[in-house]
Amino acid sequence: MSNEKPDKEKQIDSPELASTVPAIPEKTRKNWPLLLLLVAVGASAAIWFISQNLNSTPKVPKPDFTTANSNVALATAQLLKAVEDKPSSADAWGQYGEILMAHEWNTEALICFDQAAKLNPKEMRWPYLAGILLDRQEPILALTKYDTAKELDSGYAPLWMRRGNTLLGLNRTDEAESSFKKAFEADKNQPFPLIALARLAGLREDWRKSTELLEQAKSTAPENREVLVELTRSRMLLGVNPMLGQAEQSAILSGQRYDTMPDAIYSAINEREVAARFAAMQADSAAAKGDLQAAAEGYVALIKQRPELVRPRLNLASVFLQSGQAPLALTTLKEAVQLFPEDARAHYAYSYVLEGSQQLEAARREREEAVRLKPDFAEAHYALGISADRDGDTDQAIQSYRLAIQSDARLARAHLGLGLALQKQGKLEQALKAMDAAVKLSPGDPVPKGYLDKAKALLEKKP
Amino acid sequence: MHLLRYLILFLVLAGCSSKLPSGNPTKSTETDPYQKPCLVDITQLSSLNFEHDPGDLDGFSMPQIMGSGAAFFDIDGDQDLDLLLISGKQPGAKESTGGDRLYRQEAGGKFADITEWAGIATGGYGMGVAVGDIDNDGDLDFYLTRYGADRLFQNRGDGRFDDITDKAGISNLQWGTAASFVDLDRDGWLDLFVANYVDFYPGSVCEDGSGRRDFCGPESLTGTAGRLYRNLGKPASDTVHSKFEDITVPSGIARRIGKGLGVLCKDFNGDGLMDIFVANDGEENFLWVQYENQMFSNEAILRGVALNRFGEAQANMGVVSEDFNNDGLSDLFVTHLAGEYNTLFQASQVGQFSDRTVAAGLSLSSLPFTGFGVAAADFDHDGDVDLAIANGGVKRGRRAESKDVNAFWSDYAQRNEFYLNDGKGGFETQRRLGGSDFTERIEVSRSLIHGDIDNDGDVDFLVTNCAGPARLYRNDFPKLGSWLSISAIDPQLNRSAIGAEIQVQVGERVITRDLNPSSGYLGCNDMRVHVGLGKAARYDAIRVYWPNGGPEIEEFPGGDSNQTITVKRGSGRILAGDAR
Repeated sequence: MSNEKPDKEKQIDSPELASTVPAIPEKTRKNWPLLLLLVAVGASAAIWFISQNLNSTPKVPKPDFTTANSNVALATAQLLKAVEDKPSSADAWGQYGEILMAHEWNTEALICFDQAAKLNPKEMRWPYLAGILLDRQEPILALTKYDTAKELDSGYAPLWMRRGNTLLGLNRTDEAESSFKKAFEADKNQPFPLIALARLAGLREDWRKSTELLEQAKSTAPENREVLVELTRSRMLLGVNPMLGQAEQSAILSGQRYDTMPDAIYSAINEREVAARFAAMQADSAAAKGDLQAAAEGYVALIKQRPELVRPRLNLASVFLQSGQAPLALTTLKEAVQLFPEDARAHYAYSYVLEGSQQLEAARREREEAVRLKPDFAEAHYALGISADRDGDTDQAIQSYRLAIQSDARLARAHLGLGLALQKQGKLEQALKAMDAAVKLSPGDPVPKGYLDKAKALLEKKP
Repeated sequence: MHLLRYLILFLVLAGCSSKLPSGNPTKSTETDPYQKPCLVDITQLSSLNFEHDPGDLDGFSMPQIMGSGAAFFDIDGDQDLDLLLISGKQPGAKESTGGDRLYRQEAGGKFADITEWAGIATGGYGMGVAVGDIDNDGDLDFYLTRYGADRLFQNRGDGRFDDITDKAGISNLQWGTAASFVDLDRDGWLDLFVANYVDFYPGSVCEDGSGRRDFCGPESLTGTAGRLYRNLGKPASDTVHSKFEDITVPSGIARRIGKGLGVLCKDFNGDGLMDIFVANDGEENFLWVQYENQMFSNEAILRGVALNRFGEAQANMGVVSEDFNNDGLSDLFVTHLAGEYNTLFQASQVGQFSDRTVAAGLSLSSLPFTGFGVAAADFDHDGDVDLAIANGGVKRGRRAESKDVNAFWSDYAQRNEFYLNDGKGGFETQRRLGGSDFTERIEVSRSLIHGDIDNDGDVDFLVTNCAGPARLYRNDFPKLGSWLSISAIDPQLNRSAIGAEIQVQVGERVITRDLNPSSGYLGCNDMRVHVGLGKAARYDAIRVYWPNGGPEIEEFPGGDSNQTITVKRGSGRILAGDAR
């Protein structure tokens, strides 16, 4: 045994290396064939696993659309379909990730960006957006994404700014400083890297350096509020008379949010989706407050901004109806069903306005179309039941009411409609059951209660 | 054994290493004194049965998600803390019975609901409360903020109250949130500042990112100005009720509209005049610095407390002020939304602050949570100030697994946080304090008020929850030192000296605290000033900077620790000049 050891060690040329390599125990050497086999199996399995991982496509994330705004759901579903149609497309994954990000489905968006980055590892955009998603909650992970992005495009200043801020949040001030310097090198026309460097100097209580940097920033952006305010503060803390001119005074008093580094990649996603959602919210609020004029103006503006959305049109029609402008509502909804023939809600809304203008047959057709497009659309089934009932087609009415209840068992009026239709067919006991359900679902409502009492009286009279 | 090694190698190659144990064992119970239950839920034990009732949630009305406050104060002068809990019932409803409840502490630490007897059952959707003796008659009165008209209640002396809002000349119809009594003009009468939030209409419709109905946030709504009322005392024509004068406009406060949720009054720049800090939700904070004749100028941005270290306006909610790093200067701590860390504005000199949150170890751990209520107190008596934070979301998040909330609220429920101070202003998260009820519960928490509820010398606290019970937590921390509980009374005014700064000399060390019950979020704390003394068995002196009637500093002699002390103005030694 002692003779064999030196022979083996002689095979290692470097004496330094030799001292660090442990001797292989006797027992292990005896098991060489088995070990080699195991290593071979392990390596093959590892290679297989890695190759599977590299080539595998993750399950396409599908957020819960059931409670989402129908327009958001529709727009998102379109991009989801693009991924499903072409799962090998980095752009499809990335664009789907962007819309998910815009609508705050962040976990799902992250999966998409990661897959987009895997499919196209040369595109900086995907790790960058993943970094943005992560940096408020998982700054350390965000940093790895930013680092990947910077390797792909070292000239994008907003990336260096975000990276610097993330590092600053982790108290890695020296690295943050160098990142801000890179941002400045990448875009010398922006004051923001200099402001960040000045803040950093302030944290180090180096007010002289802070002041110098802010003065440099002021030469780039003389009206920037942040520059003026921070320069004033920095001078104050340096012990220099801050010399408040009109511009500085206005800056201090204005209270306006500081500008941030323009970021074309991020704002392209955000402005389009979020601004539209915000405009919708404003118009919705105006409608809820009863300010119908403002609401109508809001929806008209929104339709111009986002012509591909159906919801603003439906809301506009609702506002027209509330303000007694039924013909305008009719026109708006007619246009909506023409533009969005696949939207069940548009057909459903249109049917009510048609019904109001006594176009009963057309209303029924729209309802039929609505339930064809969305078979679990409880309200549309109920409305179709009403149409059928009116046309004397009680069997169809009963079927529609039942489908409505099947889709939403809490829809009291569907239970009542079913009860009345069954009563018409002389099925009093079944009718009573349905009416009783309606009463229980809407306690305090005298209408179903009245019908229930009448039906009970009828049943008692029955021989 | 070898086979196992290779199996591990294989697993590492296969990318499963993250599932293996980290090899970072947790502290054993023998070495960590905090592993026994430190904050114990005694709500049931105390017969406290309050439930916050936000009303019907179908409309996602914004006041419902903002929760409500509470106050610890002695309503009847029997030297124990009683409890006022605020609630609402259906914001904006024309007929609202209100939900505020007043509890008197009885023998054995039980709480009895005396709301109807006390005469405080009024309508409106309650938000916050401020407590103070507005008429200098020796008992404590209170002001209720509301989504709707605020109310002022005057104590008859025995714990029954009269609503004197109209007689006092107070009318705040905006959405009042935090409020604070403070003697701004140093005339001996407590004035009143009220922070107002946003101009919210009950029918406002808001959605989350995916277009689902959700509670509105402040970004879509206009802010409102705070209100400042000067207490004129009792006029000759009415010797019973104090009169107030609205000085919002002449004082300069009306110059800025904000979205105020937190208020803290204090002499920030050391000029002897009280100033007002307002935490604004999603906007720059205000620091109203008082000059002469109650004229105010907002200097937050120049004093480093308007924005965080990135120059961002955060969703500022609750606020406390304490000397966290024991350097003799009071710092500010403000709670924020998830994704924005809670911010520690550390004083670098009197009246100048900078965001030192990251260095203090308070940033990363707070990112997942939306902080509201906050208490800063020395819970373990080791001589530094710790932090308890009540968390709860305002926007739909990932559904939390919680047995304490229903399905609706589980989208908003979060865990609370507790941080222990290392004595130098660095903080360590103690999220799992030996099975602490406070940090284990997952609810939608809002206000957090503190006080020595059982008069045992340590600081207990209470947390309010949206659509849930108020929970009372007893402090069972292992005590690492001694304590003092100090009441500072001005006999001429017949009341606690709200606004006084109290310094306790222990050897070379000076511990600075403020007598300021209004802090945190929508709440009001015990009037007594609690001080942890560390290992000291004695204190050497107490100095009080009285807040009114001229710049007067008085020193009181030292004594043994672990006692409740009342220092009365005029009975100490007057010091010349400003010892600060």
